[in-house]
Amino acid sequence: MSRWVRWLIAFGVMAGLGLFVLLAWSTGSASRLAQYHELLVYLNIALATGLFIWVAGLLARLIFQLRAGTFGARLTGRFALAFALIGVLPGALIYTVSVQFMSRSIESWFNVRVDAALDAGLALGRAALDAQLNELDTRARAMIPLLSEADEGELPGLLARVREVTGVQEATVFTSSGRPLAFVTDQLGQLLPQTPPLHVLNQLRLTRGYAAADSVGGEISDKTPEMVLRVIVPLASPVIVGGNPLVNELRWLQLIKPVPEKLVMNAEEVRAGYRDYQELALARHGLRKLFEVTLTLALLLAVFAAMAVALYLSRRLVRPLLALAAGTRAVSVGDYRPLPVPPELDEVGQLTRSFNAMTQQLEEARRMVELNRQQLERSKLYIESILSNLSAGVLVFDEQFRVTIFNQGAQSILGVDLRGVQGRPLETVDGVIQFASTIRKAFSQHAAMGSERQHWQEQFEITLPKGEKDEVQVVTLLARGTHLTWEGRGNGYVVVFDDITEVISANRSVAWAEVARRLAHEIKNPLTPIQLSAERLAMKLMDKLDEKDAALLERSTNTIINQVSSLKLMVDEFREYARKPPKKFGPVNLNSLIEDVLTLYGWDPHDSKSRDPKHPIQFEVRLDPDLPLISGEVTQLRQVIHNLLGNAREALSEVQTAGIIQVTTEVTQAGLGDETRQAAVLLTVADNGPGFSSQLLQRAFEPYVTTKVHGTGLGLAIVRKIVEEHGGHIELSNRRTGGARVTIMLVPFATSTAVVDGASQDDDNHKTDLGTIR
Amino acid sequence: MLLVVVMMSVSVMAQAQVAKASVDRIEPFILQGFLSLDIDFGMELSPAMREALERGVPLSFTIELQIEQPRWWWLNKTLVNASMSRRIFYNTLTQQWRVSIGDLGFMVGSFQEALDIVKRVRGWEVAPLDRFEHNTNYVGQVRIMLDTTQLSRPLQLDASKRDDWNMASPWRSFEFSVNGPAGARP
Repeated sequence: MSRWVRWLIAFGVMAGLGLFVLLAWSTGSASRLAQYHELLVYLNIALATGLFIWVAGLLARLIFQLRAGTFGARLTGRFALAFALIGVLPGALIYTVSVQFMSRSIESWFNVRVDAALDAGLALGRAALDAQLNELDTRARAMIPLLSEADEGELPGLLARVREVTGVQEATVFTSSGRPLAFVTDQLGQLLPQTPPLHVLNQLRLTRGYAAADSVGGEISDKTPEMVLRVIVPLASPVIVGGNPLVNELRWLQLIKPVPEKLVMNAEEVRAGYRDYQELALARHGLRKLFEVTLTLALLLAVFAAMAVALYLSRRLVRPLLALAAGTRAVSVGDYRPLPVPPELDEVGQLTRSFNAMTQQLEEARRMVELNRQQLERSKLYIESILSNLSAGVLVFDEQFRVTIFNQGAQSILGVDLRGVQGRPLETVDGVIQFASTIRKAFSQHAAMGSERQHWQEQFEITLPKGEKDEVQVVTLLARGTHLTWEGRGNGYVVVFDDITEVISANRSVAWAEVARRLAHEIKNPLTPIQLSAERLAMKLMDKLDEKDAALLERSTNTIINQVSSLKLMVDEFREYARKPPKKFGPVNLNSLIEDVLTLYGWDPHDSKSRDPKHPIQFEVRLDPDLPLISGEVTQLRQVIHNLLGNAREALSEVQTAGIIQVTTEVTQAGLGDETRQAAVLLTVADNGPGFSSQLLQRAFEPYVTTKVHGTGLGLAIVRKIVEEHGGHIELSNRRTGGARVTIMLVPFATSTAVVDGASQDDDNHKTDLGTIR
Repeated sequence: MLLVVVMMSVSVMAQAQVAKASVDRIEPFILQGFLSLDIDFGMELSPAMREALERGVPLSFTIELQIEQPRWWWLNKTLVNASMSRRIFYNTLTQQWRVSIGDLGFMVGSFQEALDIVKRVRGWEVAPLDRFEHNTNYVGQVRIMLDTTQLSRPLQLDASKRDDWNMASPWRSFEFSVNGPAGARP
């Protein structure tokens, strides 16, 4: 509500009040506004109508808001009703009482007794006048005989006597036509008699006399009018006047006497009172109407003004409360903006300020909570990411062995999808029933033993389904279990397990190497004497025996010699396998080494076909010309290439199709765990043979694991050993197109040919130079 | 509530026995260099007025006159705007009827005489003749009406809403022109 509207309303109220005051004034008798009374009534009616329309509009809006269920309409309505009742009820009461009172009292003014009293007063006045008239009339008639006889000349003297006797003001004798014959008066300045008026003369023709009280002028003015008694009596004998006997006129005596002033005053008072009373009596209906209209207008104005003010005030009162309520609702949906503070310094304004302070604090608290929550979430996510990137499997159970947490490692180790198992026992997943029962057993055993240790540790083998077919895989797992206790009571179990199949396999290799080295050493020594002894035996005894025995001898010694030599071969291989790594590596050109070995397998750099007619093998050789020298020992590396190519060729001999052997070398970048990267040489040998079976893939590097009929099973074991001794890495896999692939990564001779970051560049270059010189 | 007020005022209007007034005759002539008028009114007071008179309430009648010069190009030019007041009064004390014309008051014998005096206007000197141009048509209007402003205040308020307290004749118009110094022709 702007200031203009407020001023407008104030002005309207003042104008309405003024209008009504004017109306009230205009009802007064002597008011100057009397002539505008009608206009004022209509103006007031217009004002009331205007107010009514305003009130109706406000009411309609309020009702509409109530219907629509607008927030706050109910409170506004209640306020408005209360205010309106306060305004309207007393007004209506006063109106009713005053209208009743007024109409009763107006009626009571005009009753029969007052009427009669005024009539009687008037009659009294008349009677008083009549009495005086009668007296005057009597005296006048007493003069008749005296004056009748007199002729015209005697008349003034006689009249003067009459006047003195009767004490009248004026005595006149006049003819029927009104012509005065003689007159006397006590008024000094008066030269002419007061002749009777025309209608009196007319009346005299019919009657024999006249007696009346005449008021002389002044019924309009306020001053007391003069009143005279006029008595006219006929004189008896007609008189022959002068020398004109034809004129025979009747003569009349007129006596005029002023009514005593006091009597006139009182009589006039009575008359005026009577007149006023009659006027009022005539107008009493109108009077009542006048009062009623004025009062009704007052009531209407008061009622409408009260209602309008009530509606307006209630809206004004409720508005800050509504703003507060709206603010509350806004807060409930998360809007913490401060409310506009009303300019008033009252309690509502204070309330709004308190509310704003409260929402501010609330928002602060909420922001803190949100911040904490985000931090928690971040740390949780961090922990979760650690957990999921952990290669070890982690499973968390509750007290009833239902899975609560698992990580990606557990899924990949167990080879199952655990996403559906959350909240259910682990046994509900196919394929891990054995694992689950083992864990349960371990926990129960641990609990039964009452060990001091917090955890148990167990290593066991389980069979897990592998791949699409019904193949199974035996995996060795090392599991540790802990019973979680938190706040004094158990609330779950944690199992951390890891696939240690490869660790065990490596252990085996080491053990084998040790065995082989000792065995080779122990066995190799007696072999040469045995062989030599057998040869000597055969040479010495051959001639001394008959043919049959000689043949037996030869056969036996041959057997011995053959077996010993094969034993020697085997021991050599073992020794090779178990040989200690060389102390020093030199620079090796891997490409030329590969070409050398390939030549042995019938590879021609210009014709990629093998020359073996039975099994035509196609070589696809892609050698990186920029390959750096690698650090290694030539003999051992040749052995590696030899073994790989031999394996490939043997694998291809099992298939009927045209075999292809791919040999590739390339430079790659190997991460070292931190930011730095190192150049590495990658050697890949692949074929399109049957590939590795999945079981073999796990243990191919272990000694005595072979699929070949003739084979020691040491080939790949030796390869791996050599590669690892060279600080490299080997990996077996099956190609997607079929066939096996062996990838070997070897380190270049000068380890820092690949430039790393700028900070250590100079230093690195220096090293490189040194390496090259050496 | 507003409706009630309106209905009350309507009910007051419904009263019988209304007063009638008319202008019966207008006779303009020239007397001693003045334009004078003889006018006869027809008047019949309502019983309510008669009753008020007999109870001593004086009644005033106003006779109004307007003379205009017609102008075809503009509003008519008003030359004369005169009025005259006549008053009837009954003295309840002396039981006499009085009529006053202006300041002049005189007694008459009866109500009818008094009314006759009011109805008959003789030789009303309206305006000096030199105000009028010769041989020009003038239009005059005359009416008579009860002067309610002379009534007492309550009666006045009441009278404005009652038909039997309203008496006003319609305007009656007359035309005349002045024919040189010879005289006026109605």
